[in-house]
Amino acid sequence: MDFFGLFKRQPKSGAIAKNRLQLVLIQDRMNTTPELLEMLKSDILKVLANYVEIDEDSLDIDINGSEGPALVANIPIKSWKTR
Amino acid sequence: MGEVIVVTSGKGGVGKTTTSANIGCGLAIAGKNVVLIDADIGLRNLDVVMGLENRIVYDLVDVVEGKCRLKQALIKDKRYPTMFLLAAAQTKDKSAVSPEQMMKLCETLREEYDYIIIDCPAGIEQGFKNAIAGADRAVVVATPEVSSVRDADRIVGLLEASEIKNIRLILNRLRPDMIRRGEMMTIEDVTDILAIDVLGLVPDDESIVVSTNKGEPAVADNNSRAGQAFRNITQRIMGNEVPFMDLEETGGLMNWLKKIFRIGNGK
Amino acid sequence: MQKNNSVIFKGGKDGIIIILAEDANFNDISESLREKIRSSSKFFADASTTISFKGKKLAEKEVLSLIEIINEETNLSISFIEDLTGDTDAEKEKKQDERKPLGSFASIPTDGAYFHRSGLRNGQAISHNGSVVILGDINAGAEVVAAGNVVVFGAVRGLIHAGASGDNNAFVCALSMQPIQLRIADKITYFPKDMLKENKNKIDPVYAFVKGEEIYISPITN
Repeated sequence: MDFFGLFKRQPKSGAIAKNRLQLVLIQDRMNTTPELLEMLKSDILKVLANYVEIDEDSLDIDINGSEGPALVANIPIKSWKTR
Repeated sequence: MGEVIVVTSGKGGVGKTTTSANIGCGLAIAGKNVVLIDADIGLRNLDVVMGLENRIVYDLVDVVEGKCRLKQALIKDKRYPTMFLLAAAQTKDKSAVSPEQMMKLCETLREEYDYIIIDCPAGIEQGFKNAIAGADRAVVVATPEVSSVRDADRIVGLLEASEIKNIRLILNRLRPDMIRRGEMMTIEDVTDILAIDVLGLVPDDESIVVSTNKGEPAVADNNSRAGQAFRNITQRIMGNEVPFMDLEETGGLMNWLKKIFRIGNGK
Repeated sequence: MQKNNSVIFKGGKDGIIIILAEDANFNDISESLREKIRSSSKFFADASTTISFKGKKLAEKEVLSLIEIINEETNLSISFIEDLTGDTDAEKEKKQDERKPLGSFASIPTDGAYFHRSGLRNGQAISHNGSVVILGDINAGAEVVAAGNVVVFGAVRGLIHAGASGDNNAFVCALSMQPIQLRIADKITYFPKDMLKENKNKIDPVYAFVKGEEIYISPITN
């Protein structure tokens, strides 16, 4: 039985390093630039405009992720567009 | 008015980035307002050593090209609220930044911050010229090895030629056991050749590897001997005289045994 | 072409020798001098030296006008002008012998020597058409190339080439000799690594000179 595993342990720094490295490399390879993010934003807006009216000033889209890269968006909806 | 310090070495891999990060953090812990700038062109390192690699949105080239405001590019470190990082660009274009642009940037930063630490890339090319352009003083990092000292000598010559008057040495990765055995150059060997004052002596220490793994500079770790060396260096930069620490290791089983039986110089 | 050989430069132990072709006319000589100086200006930059004229006999006015050309075209600081023109070979030899006894330290020429008031770092180099005195260390990666002698008040850890224009009588002396490479005229030598390690940081004044085909090192003691 793994007695020592019963107690929550801080991961060793080597493992932390490997984790961080994987993240960094994904970012580097994706090579996201601020421009890319802007283009992504405006494309998303165009699509959404078919269905909803959005408060564009409060729109927040970003690439984040402590557990892996994720596109995180906060899109405040003003009203739904009727078909 | 702030002070711009460039951390340089000539040779790569001797500890410039680690030194920049630790000095920057050390000064921030002491309450100073600090900006760290990664002056490399194309390769990014300072952000990783600081553990801020996932916070970068804008970088040095974005600032210089006016794509963003300076404040937008300065990354705030939650652990050290008075410290900010300006990351390197991943561009391959050597002419993306000019010495004049660096000088202007430093002038702007001097007005608001106490210390601006510039992490210089290896070599003596455009990156180096950019990094020293706005500097008031220089810290040269070297290890006690032939190629490192040769490159450091070259760098000191170039710094003196650019009229940077305050040039001091940090000797890194010292191993007193090897020095005692005559397998490593002594501190005097190095200072005889470089002929500049010593700002700090940093022992070779595992805790540096661990701290880089975690993205937490050793200067904040009270158990780290290298961290202690950097804390001392921070004090000296602020003008306080601190005696150089005893580099001999005081821990370890052998030393403890020696102490018990009073053999040798177990401390 | 006649013009090109009207003037020939030679570097001597303590100065520049300008040899004027016997059968050239003065105009050719003037022009040739100007052209040659212009094309090798970095050899003549900022130095202090003696000038000796040999070959075709010139009137004093003509010698002066050649000096003018040198002043106009270079930053040379001329410390001594010698007119050896028109002398027969025997007369020339005699004059030269009287002026510079060989192989004795009493003859370290201070006229025409270049004093460098600090050491040299990796990447720095001095090239001088005369003797050089360095007040400091010459670090590894630094170079001194001199037509004359090289005297170093410090440690030599870099490269020294004395008698660079072919003078086998040139010497090198230093407070500590640990050079990467030592050359006198066309002779070359380097020091074995263990000898370098032993000599580290010891002050051990020596001088190096050519004897036959080898470079010898001898301590400077009484």
